[in-house]
Amino acid sequence: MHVVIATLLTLSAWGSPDGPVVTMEAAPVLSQVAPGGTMPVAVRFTIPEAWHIYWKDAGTAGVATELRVKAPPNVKIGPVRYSRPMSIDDPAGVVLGYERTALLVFNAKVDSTITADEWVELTVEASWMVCKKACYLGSGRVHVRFAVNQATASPGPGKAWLEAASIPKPLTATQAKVTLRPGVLELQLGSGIPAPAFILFHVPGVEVQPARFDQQEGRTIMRIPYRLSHRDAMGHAPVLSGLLTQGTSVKDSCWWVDIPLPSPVETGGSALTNDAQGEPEP
Amino acid sequence: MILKSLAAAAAILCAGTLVAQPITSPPKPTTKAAIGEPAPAFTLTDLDGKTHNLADYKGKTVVLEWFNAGCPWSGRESAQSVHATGRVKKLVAAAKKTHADVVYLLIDSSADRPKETIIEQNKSAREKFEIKQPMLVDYDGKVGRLYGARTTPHMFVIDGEGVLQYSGAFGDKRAKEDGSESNFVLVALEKLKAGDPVEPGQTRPWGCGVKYKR
Repeated sequence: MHVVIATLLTLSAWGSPDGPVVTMEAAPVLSQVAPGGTMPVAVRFTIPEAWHIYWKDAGTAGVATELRVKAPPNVKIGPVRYSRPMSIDDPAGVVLGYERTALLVFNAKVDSTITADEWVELTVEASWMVCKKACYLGSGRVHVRFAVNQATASPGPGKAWLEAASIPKPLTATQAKVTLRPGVLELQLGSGIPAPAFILFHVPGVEVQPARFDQQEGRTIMRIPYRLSHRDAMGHAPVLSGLLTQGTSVKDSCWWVDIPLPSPVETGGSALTNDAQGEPEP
Repeated sequence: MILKSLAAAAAILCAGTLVAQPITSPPKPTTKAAIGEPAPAFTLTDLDGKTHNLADYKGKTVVLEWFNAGCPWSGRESAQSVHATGRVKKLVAAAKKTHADVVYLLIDSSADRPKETIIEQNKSAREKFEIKQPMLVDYDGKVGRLYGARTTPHMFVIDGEGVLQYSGAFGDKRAKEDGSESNFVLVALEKLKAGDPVEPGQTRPWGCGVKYKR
């Protein structure tokens, strides 16, 4: 039987019985996976009207929603990908997060030693802060099971969730050319994208000003002034990270960008690296 | 900083009527907080009606903590509150070992409730968490905006010369698996004591957004 079981667990905020209830569900994106294959798993949060939870970089204020996945030793869990967030007005400034629903995705790579007709069970734990006028902390735990077998996979229950959100795709070197001038990163995209924007993921020691966009001969060029502060880096490599978006809807396409930055005196080319995000797309 | 000093010197030279400042004059407070610059001046009243002027603490190291009695990372009972978990008490005790005369002030810039309610809730939190430090009320948010305070908690360290040396997070959000926890404020205080540059001077603060008056 190729049925996928996703356990639903609803939790209210920690120690805050008066807080809003955020529900958390997890489901495989495919009906089953072959030995040695990769199963994308989607985790969906449903948020009460007018409340919000946060993206992996909360922006001006807030706390990131976080996932921890416990898996058997023969299953390797990849990095968590966050669906495209929205900007939310807050008294402290603009924050980045989700209203109504949020989707996080990770890949579970099944070792080839797992024999067909076995089941894999994962435990997914999450923590979040949900805010409107006040803020409440929340946490949840769900279990998700999927079958390992050689049958042709069909869409699992997580597929529909994925289709309703925009999960960042890695921006590859064939799609964009990176040029570094003193203190300015320039990203030339092979084609034009409508209503472009860049959502920064803060890396300690990298200070970035807002991106500027130009459309030239049908191509989009993004320029981001930056400054490196080794004093504040805390051992982090200097990387410009963030989300390049098109359009204004959270369902519009977006690409994850990771560009290593040289020290300010070094200029020239650089390359896109998407180690954290470059996994097979669900 | 050098550019600003040159500009100031040029301005003095151009204005013949200006009197040269003595070299020993204290740094003038700036109007917006910046690391390595004099900390913005402020005068605020605490929960007991006592006035606190930053200038009164000259010569002492000052730690500012932005506070909100309704925030689960700050002054509300929760497993993550820096007050409920005793992290602030630990910090103050450790800070006194490196800077015996350290001044620790809590500032609340919330304006999402009536001022009287905020004062009442802060008094209640003070009693519940046995907070011994002065809790200042910044209802109009002017001081918070001057410092760029974004979250509760959001921490600032000002040295004895009145220069802002650290701005950012309290430490890691949660203790590590081995039970240890980082505290960037304590790191800053230790660096100051040793006469070393404060590294990191800025980190990304976490917590609830400061509930400024809109």
